[in-house]
Amino acid sequence: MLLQICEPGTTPTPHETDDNIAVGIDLGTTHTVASIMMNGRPVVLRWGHQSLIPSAVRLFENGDVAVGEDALKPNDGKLVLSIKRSMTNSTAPEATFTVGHVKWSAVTITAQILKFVKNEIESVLGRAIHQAVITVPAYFDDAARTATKQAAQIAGIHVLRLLNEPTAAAVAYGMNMHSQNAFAIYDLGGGTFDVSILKPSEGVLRVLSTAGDTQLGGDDFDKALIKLIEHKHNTTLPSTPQVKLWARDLKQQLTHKKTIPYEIDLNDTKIHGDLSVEEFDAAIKPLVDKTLTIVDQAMRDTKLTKDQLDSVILVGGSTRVPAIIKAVEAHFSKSPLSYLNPDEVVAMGAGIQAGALTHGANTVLLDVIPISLGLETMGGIVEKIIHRNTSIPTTQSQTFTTFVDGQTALTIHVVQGEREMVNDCRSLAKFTLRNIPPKPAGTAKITVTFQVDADGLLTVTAEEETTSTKQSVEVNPTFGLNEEEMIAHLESAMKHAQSDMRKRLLEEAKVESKRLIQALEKALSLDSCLLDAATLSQLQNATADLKTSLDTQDIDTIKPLCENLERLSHSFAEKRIAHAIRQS
Amino acid sequence: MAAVNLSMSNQSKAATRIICWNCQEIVCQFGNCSSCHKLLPQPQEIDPFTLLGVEPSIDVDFETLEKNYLKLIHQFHPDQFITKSQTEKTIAQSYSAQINNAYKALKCPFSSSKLLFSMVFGQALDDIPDPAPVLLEIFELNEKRMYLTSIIQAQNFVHEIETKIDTAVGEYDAAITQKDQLKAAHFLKTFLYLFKLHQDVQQNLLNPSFDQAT
Ligand SMILES: [Zn+2]
Repeated sequence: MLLQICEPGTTPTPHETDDNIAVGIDLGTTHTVASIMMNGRPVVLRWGHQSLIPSAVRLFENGDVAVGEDALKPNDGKLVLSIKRSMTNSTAPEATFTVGHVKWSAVTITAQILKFVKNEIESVLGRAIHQAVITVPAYFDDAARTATKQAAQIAGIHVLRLLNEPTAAAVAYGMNMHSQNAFAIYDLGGGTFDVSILKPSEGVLRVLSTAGDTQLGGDDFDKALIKLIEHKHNTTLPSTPQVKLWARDLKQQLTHKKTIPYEIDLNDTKIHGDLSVEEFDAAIKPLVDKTLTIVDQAMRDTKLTKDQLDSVILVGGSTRVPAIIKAVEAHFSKSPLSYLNPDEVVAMGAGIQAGALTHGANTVLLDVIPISLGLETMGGIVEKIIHRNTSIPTTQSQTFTTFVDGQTALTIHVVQGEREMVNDCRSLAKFTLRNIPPKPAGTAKITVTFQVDADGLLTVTAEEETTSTKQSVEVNPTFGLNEEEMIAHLESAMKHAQSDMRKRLLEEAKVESKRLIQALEKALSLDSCLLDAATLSQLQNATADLKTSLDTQDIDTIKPLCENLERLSHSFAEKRIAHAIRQS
Repeated sequence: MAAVNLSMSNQSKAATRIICWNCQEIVCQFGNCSSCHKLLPQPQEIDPFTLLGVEPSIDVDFETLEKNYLKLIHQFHPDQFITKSQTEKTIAQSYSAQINNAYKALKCPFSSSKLLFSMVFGQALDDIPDPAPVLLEIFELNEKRMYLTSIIQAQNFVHEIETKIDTAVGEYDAAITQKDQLKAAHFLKTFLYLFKLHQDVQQNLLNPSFDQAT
């Protein structure tokens, strides 16, 4: 397969080290698109004339894998399409396949797509790529984000940032926009729907609200079309990838034709007929209406009215459907913009952001958490800790207490969703805080802290006040792969990348150690008089040990020594501060 | 550059001296180390008004709040530290969370006025029981609201509430100056209730279902 860039022969900013170069990848339900900054402009990577890599994977009995166009060619093995729709529930039965002797999951299949894309990008750029900004639907929950990050890790890609798809599109359009008013992004992809309302000001592109549905997209239009034809002929079509692709093709023809003929071979009969755009529009109307309800919810959360919006931007291949364009125009009373290719605009934004993160940017993206996060309390009721559309990063704490006298353990159940009851929300993780000192009910104080980072990923810590019994979980190990599975995949799928990673960790530990030694030596030269002889020699010995360990090139030796010295130097630092304050 | 100056002036009072984690110099704890320019851990105990550089008031200056918030978030968002050391990434993460949370607290009159109350009196407003006169006023207004039958009546009701809000804010500010905790609690509770009622009634005015009731 020949991979070619718009401007053959040009490589992105020559003489850059691999660490300075990062690509943007739009990992779509039906297609994957990549882009990179070249001479200050985002360039979408192309295969001949095509920029879209089908997000299709064919799994063979012998363990071989084909990705992209090669996977679509009629062949043996199992064809997997739209795997992204399984990422929100990546361990569910429908998201796991056993082919031959290999057990596949949504994460490992997605990793195959990313690995393939990474190789293709590397062959066209003629250099290794280690870093990327990868886009995800804004409405992806924590589990799906974690799963995406894991897939990238297996593929040997360090994710600089998980970027929400509508925000990425806004970045691409933002390059040409100078308004300070709010605008909406209506993003209907192959499998997911998102709407985001954004407002640019003071160098910050701020997401005011977002809403969506991770199970609503062009795929559902295809299904509606199949149902329509089944209804017309009073028959049932087999639910195979081939029929799905056939329906997708009919749908695409209907974007520019009033009526189209169709025919398909079933085992014993052949059915054929004509399909009009009116019939199709009627079939997808409930889906279109559903997107507009979601739009209204996002608007409500911003407390803005539709006429306060500057513009509405259409993103995602499914917004080519004329019924969508008409519906959006009627709903907002303004004609929507789509002058950038709706299939490529998300990748472009991701490429721009990849460049901005590695080279610095004038505009900062301030995104929000799409779905509320909370904890289960008595009676299965959800206590929301972080509400949807809160700007990230954010940290929120809540104090809980024990329910029974002498209770020594407390189960923390983390959920994501808008509903009141635990059973109606998505369970993200469950862990138990133990060793709470036995006390009368209601007197122990347990502080649970939710920390959401700029990728929208959650870490939960629980701490008992009196003993400082601290436990933390990185949500969500239960729904993605657990650590062991992760390591197994890393070992089998990318031995090199793993050793690269260890090398990188070693380098980081060495840099950190050298910094510490240097800083401490300087502090000692200034203020060693503040220490007694025993403490001084303890510090000097620990420094010497760490220095020697640097030659071992062994991270497991260096790390504990470095941490030890850090601990020792802490009380020295406190003495120095106290001294400085006395002096002043 | 302006962002640094702005924040420096707001925060210089609160900034304590610390030892830079990187170069070990003793420096002022705000923004970047004055010696090696690495990002320093930011003071956690700083109150949202000081952090965002707005006058502590029940009536927060939204324009200044918005402007200062965006400047700070632009400066300290984790995206600005992607290529920096792990320590700086961690600091940027926790500091920008602090900035976001402070903005959220001040953006809403409910949380900002409660915050101001606890800052002035060292006690949470919610820990003080509702004084009887407040409850009485609430009941009266609620009853009045139930008998609103036309848009005109509703609009007049909104004006009435607005006048009451102005009075409550004035009395509250006076109570703060006099350090009269009970009086402050009384008028703050009144204000919060009136504010909520004002929002609800206006929402109803925008809702076409009100028309059908006439
Ligand atoms: Zn320094």
